[in-house]
Amino acid sequence: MYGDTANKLILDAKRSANLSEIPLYQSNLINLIIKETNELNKDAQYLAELHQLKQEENSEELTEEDEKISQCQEFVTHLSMRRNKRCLLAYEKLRADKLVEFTWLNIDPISESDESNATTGTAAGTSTSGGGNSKTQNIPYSDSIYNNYTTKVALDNLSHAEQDFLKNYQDLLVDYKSNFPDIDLSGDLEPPTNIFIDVRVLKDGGEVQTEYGCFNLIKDSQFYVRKSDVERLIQQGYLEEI
Amino acid sequence: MVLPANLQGNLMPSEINFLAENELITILPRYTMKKIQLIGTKIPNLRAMRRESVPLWVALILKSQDKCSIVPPKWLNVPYLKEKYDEELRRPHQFSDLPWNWLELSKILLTRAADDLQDPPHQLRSIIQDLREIRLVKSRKGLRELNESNIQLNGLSLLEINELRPFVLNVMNKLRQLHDSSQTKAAEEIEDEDMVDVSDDDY
Repeated sequence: MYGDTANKLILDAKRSANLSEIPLYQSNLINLIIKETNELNKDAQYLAELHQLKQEENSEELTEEDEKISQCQEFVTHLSMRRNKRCLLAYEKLRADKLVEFTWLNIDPISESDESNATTGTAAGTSTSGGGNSKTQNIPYSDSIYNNYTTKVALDNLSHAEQDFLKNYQDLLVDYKSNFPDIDLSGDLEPPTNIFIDVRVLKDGGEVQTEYGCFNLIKDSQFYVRKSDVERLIQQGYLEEI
Repeated sequence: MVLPANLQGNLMPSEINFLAENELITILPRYTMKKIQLIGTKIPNLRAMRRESVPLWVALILKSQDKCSIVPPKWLNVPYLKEKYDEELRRPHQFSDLPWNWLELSKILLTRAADDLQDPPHQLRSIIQDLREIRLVKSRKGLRELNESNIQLNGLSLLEINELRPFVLNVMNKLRQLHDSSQTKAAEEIEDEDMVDVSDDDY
């Protein structure tokens, strides 16, 4: 039946709706759906031509029943095409939303979390790993807010259009944020409670320069610091305990 | 969406806490301090042992530095709460009148300023727990009355409403959809009948 492949796609989207990462782009299914839609389109055109021909040839013989049949055929083909379109759009929208979520979390999708930070790790995570193949993040978000939140994106799982979208959206976000340089728009969403907090270092980060001073991150050491200084580091998983 | 799904349409407990911390509360300063003009509010001139009202969050900072003692609100004592509890028992279909942030405020004061309260904290805690439970039972009972048009929640505090919100809103929305669709169908039928009547007249 028409629309079965689209249904499969939607089931896949539903399954991945609550995942914290974006699964592989279903290019096979999508190609199948597009092929099906193309065929439907051909059908529709053929039906329209046929109808016209019949009308021209013997307009007086054209009974009401014939008219009804051709109308029904065209209508159903169009409905099938529309259904396919809806399913494709729903799938893409879900993935785009996940990418948007991820972008707002402000994790750099190019930086590798483990290897590069020992040498050049900065609070902003500006280290680059030379455009390697597997660009995956794994940041431990223990906060309850980030349940079901997209915290991992493997660029290999995205289609080309999605990769472009991600890049452009990041640019857009940077543009937007530069309008309000004093506010960290992608910062923590918890309301502030304490000004000074105790933090414990979870993993070695070497010398880390924050905006307000220098820390030497040695594993299992503890600091008593201003919360606003270390918020980014907590978000990145270097520090714990508020 | 930009906002995590679990923050859409509902408040987190910590956000309610944040709102509650913005309320004014009376303090008894222990030191003299010049006034401070803040962005959203201002701290008036503080004179030792002269009552002033400041936002709760300021009071908590001063309290944690031992620079003031907090005067508990007039409802935060055992006799008053006991009376409210009796009122709850007397009127099974109504919630007694308490401040909108009584749960947060009492929790904050019990943890951060327990030494300023008039009654021993354990008694206060138990009466607050009792009140909370009896009100919970009432709101559970009230859920039986859910319908598609309205709900009356007089006297419920923000936190209690917040707990109910995701469930109640969803259920009421579904009920309303069901009701609306059946209504429009009925209306259409009536219209159809009218049309038939009109055409009959024409003949």
